[in-house]
Amino acid sequence: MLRSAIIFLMLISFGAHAQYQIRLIDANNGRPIANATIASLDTANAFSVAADQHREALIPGEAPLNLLITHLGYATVQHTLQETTAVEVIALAPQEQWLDEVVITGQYTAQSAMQSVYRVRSIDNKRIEAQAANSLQDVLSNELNIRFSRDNATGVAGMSLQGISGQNVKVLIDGVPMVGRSGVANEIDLNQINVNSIEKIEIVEGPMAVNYGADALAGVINIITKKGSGQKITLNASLQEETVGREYSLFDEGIHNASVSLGYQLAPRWYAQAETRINRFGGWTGTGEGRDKSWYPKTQQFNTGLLKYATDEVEIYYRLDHLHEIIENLGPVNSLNPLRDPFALDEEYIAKRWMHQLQADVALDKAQWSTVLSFTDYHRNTYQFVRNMVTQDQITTVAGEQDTITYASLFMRSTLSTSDLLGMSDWQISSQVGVESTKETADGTTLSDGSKDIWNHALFGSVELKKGKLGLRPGVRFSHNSSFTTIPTGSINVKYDLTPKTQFRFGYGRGFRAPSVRELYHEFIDANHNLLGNENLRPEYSHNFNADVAYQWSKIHSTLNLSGFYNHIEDRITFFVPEEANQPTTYTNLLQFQSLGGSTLWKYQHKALTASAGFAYIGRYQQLRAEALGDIPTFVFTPEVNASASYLWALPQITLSAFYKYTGPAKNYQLVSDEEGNSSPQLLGIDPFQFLDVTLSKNWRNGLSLGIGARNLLDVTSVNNNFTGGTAHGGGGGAAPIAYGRSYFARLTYQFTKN
Amino acid sequence: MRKHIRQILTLVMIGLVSACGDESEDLAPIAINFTTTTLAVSGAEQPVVVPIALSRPVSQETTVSLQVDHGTLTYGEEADYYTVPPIVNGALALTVSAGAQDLSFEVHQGAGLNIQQDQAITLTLNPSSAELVVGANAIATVSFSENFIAQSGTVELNAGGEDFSAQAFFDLSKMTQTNVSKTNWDLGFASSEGAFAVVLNSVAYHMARPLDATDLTNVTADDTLGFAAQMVIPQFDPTVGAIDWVDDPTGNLSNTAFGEIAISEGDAKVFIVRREAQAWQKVKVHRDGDSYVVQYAAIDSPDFSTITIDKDPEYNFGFLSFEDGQVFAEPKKEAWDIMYSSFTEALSLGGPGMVIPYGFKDIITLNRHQTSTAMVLIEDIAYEDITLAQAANLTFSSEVNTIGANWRMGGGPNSGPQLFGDRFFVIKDAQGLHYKLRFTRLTGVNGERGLPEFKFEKL
Repeated sequence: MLRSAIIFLMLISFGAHAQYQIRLIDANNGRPIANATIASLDTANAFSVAADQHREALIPGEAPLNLLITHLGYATVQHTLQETTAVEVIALAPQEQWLDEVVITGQYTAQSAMQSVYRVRSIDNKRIEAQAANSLQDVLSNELNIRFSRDNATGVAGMSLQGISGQNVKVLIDGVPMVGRSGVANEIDLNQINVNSIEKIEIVEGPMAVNYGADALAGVINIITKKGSGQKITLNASLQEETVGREYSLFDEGIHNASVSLGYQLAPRWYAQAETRINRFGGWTGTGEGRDKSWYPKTQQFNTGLLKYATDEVEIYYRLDHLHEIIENLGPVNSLNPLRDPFALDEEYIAKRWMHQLQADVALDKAQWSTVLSFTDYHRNTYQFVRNMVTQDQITTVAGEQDTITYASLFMRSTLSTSDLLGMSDWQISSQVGVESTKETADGTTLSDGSKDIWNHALFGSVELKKGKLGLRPGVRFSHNSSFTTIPTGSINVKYDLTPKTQFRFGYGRGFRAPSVRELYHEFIDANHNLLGNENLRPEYSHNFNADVAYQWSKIHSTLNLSGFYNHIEDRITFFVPEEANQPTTYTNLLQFQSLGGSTLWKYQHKALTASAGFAYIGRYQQLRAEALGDIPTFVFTPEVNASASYLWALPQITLSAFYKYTGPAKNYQLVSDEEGNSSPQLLGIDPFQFLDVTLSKNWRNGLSLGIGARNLLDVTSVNNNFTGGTAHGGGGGAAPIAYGRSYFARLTYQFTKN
Repeated sequence: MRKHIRQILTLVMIGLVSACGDESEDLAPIAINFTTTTLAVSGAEQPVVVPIALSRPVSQETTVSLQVDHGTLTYGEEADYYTVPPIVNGALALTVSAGAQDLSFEVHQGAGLNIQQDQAITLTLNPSSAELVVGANAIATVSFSENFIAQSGTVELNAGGEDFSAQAFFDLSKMTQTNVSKTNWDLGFASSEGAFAVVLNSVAYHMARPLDATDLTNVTADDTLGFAAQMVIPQFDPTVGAIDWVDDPTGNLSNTAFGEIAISEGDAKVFIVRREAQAWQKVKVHRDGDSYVVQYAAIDSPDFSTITIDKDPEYNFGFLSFEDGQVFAEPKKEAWDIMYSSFTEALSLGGPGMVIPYGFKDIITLNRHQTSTAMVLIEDIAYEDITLAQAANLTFSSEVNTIGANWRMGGGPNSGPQLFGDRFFVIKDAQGLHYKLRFTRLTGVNGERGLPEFKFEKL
């Protein structure tokens, strides 16, 4: 609407004064800016001009002129205009995300992060682009309190949040739980998400069980996807070439990414969008040889489509998300028998996911009704075959080496949020009630007798009470599950504004992790394994305390946040060998776990410079302590440091960014036997390591931009560990591989928009 | 603007197209070879199978003809020798069906052969299809001799496939494989004169745990409470002490689960023998002169069986099956060199006292009768280059699990087991012959476990 406003020039004529032309551009992408106001700071020459994006603004007066340029979405700039006949180009640094960061995760309606009773961290797509991230792991591994333990071979990301393993973290796409827990870590593979389609990532630490149910125990990661640009046509294309350590060749080794997306406003109320992206990782040889690589090659293809209908009151959209991923585990070539063709025993791990999502939001008078319906179909196959190296023919090996697991999930959530319900003058009361139903079907070769259905129904509600500086939000969730018993989970969050610029938050909540299909029904029996799921498992329940203080210096655009957490998980699921005769190993609710920590995060943004620095100190509970062997502390703490900085040279449109993270040692107490056979606890694990990425990007006005950079500049490949001895599946002291060393990328993107 | 779009789309298209590999039609021809070039028929009851290998399966049915040079011998069932299928017009025609990569025929000794004198026939490969090209092993000789000593060969061992249900015994010098079900015996009794030792069927993961009892009839299930959870392989908790309930995997007979064998019946302790898929037994063994007397029964049984096992010096052990009594579970001690199957190994989880019994598949054990082996890394001596003099300087070990699982590396959660490509073995047999041996495949051609292949050659 505002865009249609005409240029409004208040020209106060001072005789034959000159006119100057000013063009305002976005400092990040070089595109013209609409709806800015240019005002004079010289009282003798007062005027105010609204600048339009289609042409240069005309400034009356006599140079030098002191101008103040303001815009809702950009940092205010003071500019002294010197005598010139050329068009003066002034770049404005975007800051709408900064000043009034809007968050939605866990909220009744979108609202400012400052107002939220939860502390919501968000990472926007600009950060993702600045980093030229290939995967969500690239993005999140720079965050505090988040660590990744990558399965290097398959590249499956396993994360921990607040020292709690990733199976306790709920991963959502636009509020809908992701499906496909798999692998040894039994968690969602974050690298199976297309980073290109991300508008923003919101992270809420602490249990969000009232809103999101099971597994939201350590926290929630909500991926908010792109759903429109406000333009008639938006075309984006990108191409990224990257080395993997020192390995690169044009089509094979290294990383090769390409994507194309198109958004189109079909009609005033209808918008459609489609995207495709190919992600090819050529693997990394590492300690392997030839085709037998330490990190397996991986090819991902993502396709998404969106159709949206929106009026002022109603927004409905359908989104389709498709993933096809192939990881190749290529064996060494066997040419030992000269009478036969050389062959190799290869494996492919193939994951396919179809996610359909239909969401409707209806704005009513003082209320909002939101409903989402989604269906996800996830398959993961292990395909083993003998490849003849002469003919490339593939012969499938015996059935026991092939494996399939499928998950299908039908999900529905409907919420009704009301604001200012009672119209009271001193208390502002809003509320939310919701229902949620999930049907999960799991099927696979390793599940005891066939396909399994799990139903879950939940009813939840919360009330937000606000009076002056105080905000209170109690909530509760009741659920019924067809496979295990549940108890109501509650939470209370408090927010208090100590000063207008200082917010204090405190939250207590209960969370729970549902037993996984693997833990309930998995069957693994061979010569050395006899493992059966346990259908009688209960969820793991937690108590969680979070507190934080946030302070904003509005003038220097800086914030400081101090936060702490304590988590206590009971009835943790663990392996268990029954005492009775010939019983298989199974799972039981037995252990407890705690984590404790604090962090501080400082952010700064002023003019061309954006910077942040943080420190976290995370303690994990020592399980050995329960067995009272020696003098073991309750917690073993490890530090983390992160920092980032970005500087924009406005006129050449060049941005230099750096991202740094120090990850402290990952150690815990384990029993070690000495030569006499006496065992004693020792602190074992891997040493600290640090990652530094530096990127440089240049934007052109025609929509092209080029980014180049170096990742892992410190060239980290492996980190020393002090593990002694070995286990049944190997592993001894020495070096733990964590990364593939310094690598370089170049990324070319093109954006075309038309109004 | 359009130009940019076109450029980028072109680049993307190149990327997409290049992702699809291009197929080459210029394939190497299929090679055909005798698997082994020297073979022998050593008696009327023992025809020899002559295997022929194609380098890969043929796409369509084809025939291979072999030219036969009799030498001084005459063909015919009543003459010196005959073949299956038969020789017609001086040639042997074999059909290779589509998709096959192995073929073979048998050479039998005829009724009229006088074996006093070594004789041989020579076979030459002559394929009719252009798809097949004869390789280096184009000629094979089959001799008729009782003193035959194999020079080289390539062999697939068979432990019953993925289930490892069998033991495969192999005699290198005679190039013969003997396959025996691994569950048809339970205990072995050392046959050497004056020595007494009882071994468990470690191939089937048996265990034996002593009780503080000497009367079999007094032992009931109450005496074995908790045993089921403790007597397991693998037993991951080293404090249980399960390693004492299995035999020393090196074959040391003075360190067995049964320990020293009592001289009198009254001194012999009752052992609980744990079996994986069959009923557990209570057992006691004592000496009787130079023989063994074994009493055994199911744990709840009030009465028991008694059997006397005499020593037969032609075998390493006498064997007892709780179901079938005395059985033969191993070829004569002169008639094998290595055994391939599963096996109970001792696995260290760290320091001393942290050793647990662990079930391994793909174990090679040695014949304890005058057989020894040495491992050679190819970075020291190449398989092709090793000489008898070099082999004689190696340090040989006669511990039965010296090869053990050291020819392949174990798998992990995301990787299967693989051959160690960096090593081979030299085996010295009971006749003092040296053979070099290198594994060429861990699994069968279709990836099935329990079907490895090795090549060997006499030095």
